[in-house]
Amino acid sequence: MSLVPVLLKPRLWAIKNRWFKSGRNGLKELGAVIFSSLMMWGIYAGTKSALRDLDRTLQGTTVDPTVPLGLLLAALFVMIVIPAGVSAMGAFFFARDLDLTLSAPLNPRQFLMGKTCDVGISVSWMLCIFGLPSLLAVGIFYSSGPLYFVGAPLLCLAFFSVAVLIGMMAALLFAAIAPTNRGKQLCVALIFLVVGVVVAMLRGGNGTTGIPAMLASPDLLKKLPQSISHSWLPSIHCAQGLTALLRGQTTDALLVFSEFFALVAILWMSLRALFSKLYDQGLSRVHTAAPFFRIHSRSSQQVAKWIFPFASSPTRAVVTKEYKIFSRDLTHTIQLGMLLGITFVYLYNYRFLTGPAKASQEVLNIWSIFLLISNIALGALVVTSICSRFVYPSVSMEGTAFWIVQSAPISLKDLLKAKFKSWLTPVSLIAGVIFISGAMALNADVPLVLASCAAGIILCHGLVALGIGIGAVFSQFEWEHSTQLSMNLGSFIFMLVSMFFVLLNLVPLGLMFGTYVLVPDESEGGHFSTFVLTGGLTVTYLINRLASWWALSAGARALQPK
Amino acid sequence: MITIKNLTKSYGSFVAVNNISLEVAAGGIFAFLGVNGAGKTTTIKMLTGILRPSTGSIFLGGFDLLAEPQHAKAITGYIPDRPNLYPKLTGREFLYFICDMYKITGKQAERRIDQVLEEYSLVQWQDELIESYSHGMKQRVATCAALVHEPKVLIVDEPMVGLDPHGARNLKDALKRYAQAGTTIFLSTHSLNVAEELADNLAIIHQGSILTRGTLEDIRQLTGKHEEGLEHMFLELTAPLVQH
Repeated sequence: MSLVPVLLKPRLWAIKNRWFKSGRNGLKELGAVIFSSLMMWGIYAGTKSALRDLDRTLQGTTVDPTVPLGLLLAALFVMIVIPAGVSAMGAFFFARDLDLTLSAPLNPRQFLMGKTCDVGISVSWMLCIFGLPSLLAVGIFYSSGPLYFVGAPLLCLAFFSVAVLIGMMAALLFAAIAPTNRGKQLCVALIFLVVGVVVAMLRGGNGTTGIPAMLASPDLLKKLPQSISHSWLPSIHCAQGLTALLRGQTTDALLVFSEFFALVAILWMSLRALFSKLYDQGLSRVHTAAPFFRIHSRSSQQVAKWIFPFASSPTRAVVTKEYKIFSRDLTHTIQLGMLLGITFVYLYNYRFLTGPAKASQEVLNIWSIFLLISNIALGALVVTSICSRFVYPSVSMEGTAFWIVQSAPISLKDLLKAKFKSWLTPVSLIAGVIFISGAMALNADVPLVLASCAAGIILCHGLVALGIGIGAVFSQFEWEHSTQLSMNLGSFIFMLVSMFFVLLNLVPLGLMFGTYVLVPDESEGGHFSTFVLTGGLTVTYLINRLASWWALSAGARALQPK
Repeated sequence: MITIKNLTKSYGSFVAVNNISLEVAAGGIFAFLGVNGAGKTTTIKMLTGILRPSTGSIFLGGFDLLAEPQHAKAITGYIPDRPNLYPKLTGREFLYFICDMYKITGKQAERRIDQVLEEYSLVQWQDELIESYSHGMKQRVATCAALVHEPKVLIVDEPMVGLDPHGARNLKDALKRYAQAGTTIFLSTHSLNVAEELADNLAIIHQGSILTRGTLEDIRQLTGKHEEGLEHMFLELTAPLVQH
């Protein structure tokens, strides 16, 4: 055990050096801390406000704390398990220090403990930023005693360990058992299977429930505990333990505590057993995996010329490189599968957003404007999360090979423009599907469906450019694993700027939808409606053009040789 | 072909390269020597446009690298000391990428890629992902990338690292051939035997400043060691200045 801290020392030194020995980067770290603190405060305040709203919606019915806690912990569990699995893949099989650590006189237990701590540290920020403020808010909302504030962090630590250990076991199993040349396909299939199970659980057996419908209806909300209270879920066990702590039921709480710590011990032993049986096999399979398809470089170059016939050769070079690297990276596939799953759940839930059944035309009009704007806002948030995963890291993805484009005869602005073009098409396609499906699910008129689609595609212009530009400003070319890139300070800032940008775009779009729906078109041939839609979209386009010009210029300036 | 004027690079109070000026004529091999941390790689990174000089100017083939970077880079090839390439591309795809960057397309690109792959014994590996290559193979791909667009100026940083004896011999022969064909080669190396074998002219940099420069014969005159090799002269020149 004594060598475990030795394995962790480089990480701790790196953190110290980032703070004190990296000049202006130290300020960036300070900015990250301030920003994270603000986010934690926002989550704390948001959770308290949501609990108050819930209390009001249920009109005096006392909400069992297990319900919000169970929901929160279920979301947190998924948020920890998947990154822990991806991080474990990196730590076990792709880490740059593997040659050093595997050749050092470490026994496997020390190695495993070191890697477990490493993975735990790398995903712990989710518990700190998302989990702890929410738990604090719950404790204060339910006026709990000191037992809760002491016991809850300990119980959450055990819950967090369970999620990390499950993620690590999944990574080991995946690497050792999945067919070496079909890992990507298997991974996508697994993700869709999980999404299917989640949707089936949300339907709750009666086929009429969805997340927005649940939140809108007190009756359905009361049924929620049945949907999530499957006794085998660790989130429910933990929520029950926290509820016992909230109510001061020491015996019940102790029971859950002992259950959890026993579970952690069992999982740790299982991980050790899996590690000793499968690690060598997994390491060897991961590093000898042959690609699923034989790559024919000449043919792929011909296809690139055929797909981009009018692109300049440097632009085509960057675009084809981006697509090839993206399609061959397993971690990208995992993340894409997750995002497609989120999009699917998002679209699925739109089916339930019908208007109030007995309301005046005026109310229905206002309701439809609200839904159209919500469609744009929520769709834009989905696009933002896609951009934060794939577009934002694309500059940093150049990694240590960045010297190649730095020494090539292409300006940095042209490089960023080429990256922008690479991502604009796929993101716009996804956005088009999202916005059209959303508008159609809301039974909007054809012109409004088309306007929603156009607005979505125009928004992609700004969001993709912001992703590339802010990604360049916060570029980080030395990384251990590409999944780290979408979790750094710049990614937070990109999300924040994007949300502000989406709000800015909602002003002309809201006016456009409002005028179209509320002001009757008395002109001949519907010229007024056409004018309103064209005007609104033109203003939105100008805002997006300006944003993309600014973002790409700022990004190019930040990348200039120093 | 390469003109460096009063080139300085500072990081805060630390001066990595201190006011150096050099002139390298077309079609020769110029060796740039120095101990670890002398400023060789910093100079090379400025020559390739990866670092911006604090002061001074660089001209490659008559193009000012700071004012017309695209023109200067278009005639330059660079072989770095560490071949960090795109691991998820195949060797051939990487060379297509480079050709497209340098606007070499169609049959000309195919011909040039076939030629360099053949020359560096990479034909049978061309459709494999670079991540599966050995260090030496990656170094050979980086060399192919630097040469595929037939540069007028070739900047080479520690070219022999990771190459097997056959690879090293091939590269040395190739560098001689390119120089004879008119390419100007700026070669930074620790391998004094390589510099001795290849270079027409050389300079020794120490603590960011040029210690001496000239032909091998000039340096022999300077040190008074008429029968000695470059290693002996290099050690004599730098030993009093190096503290181990």
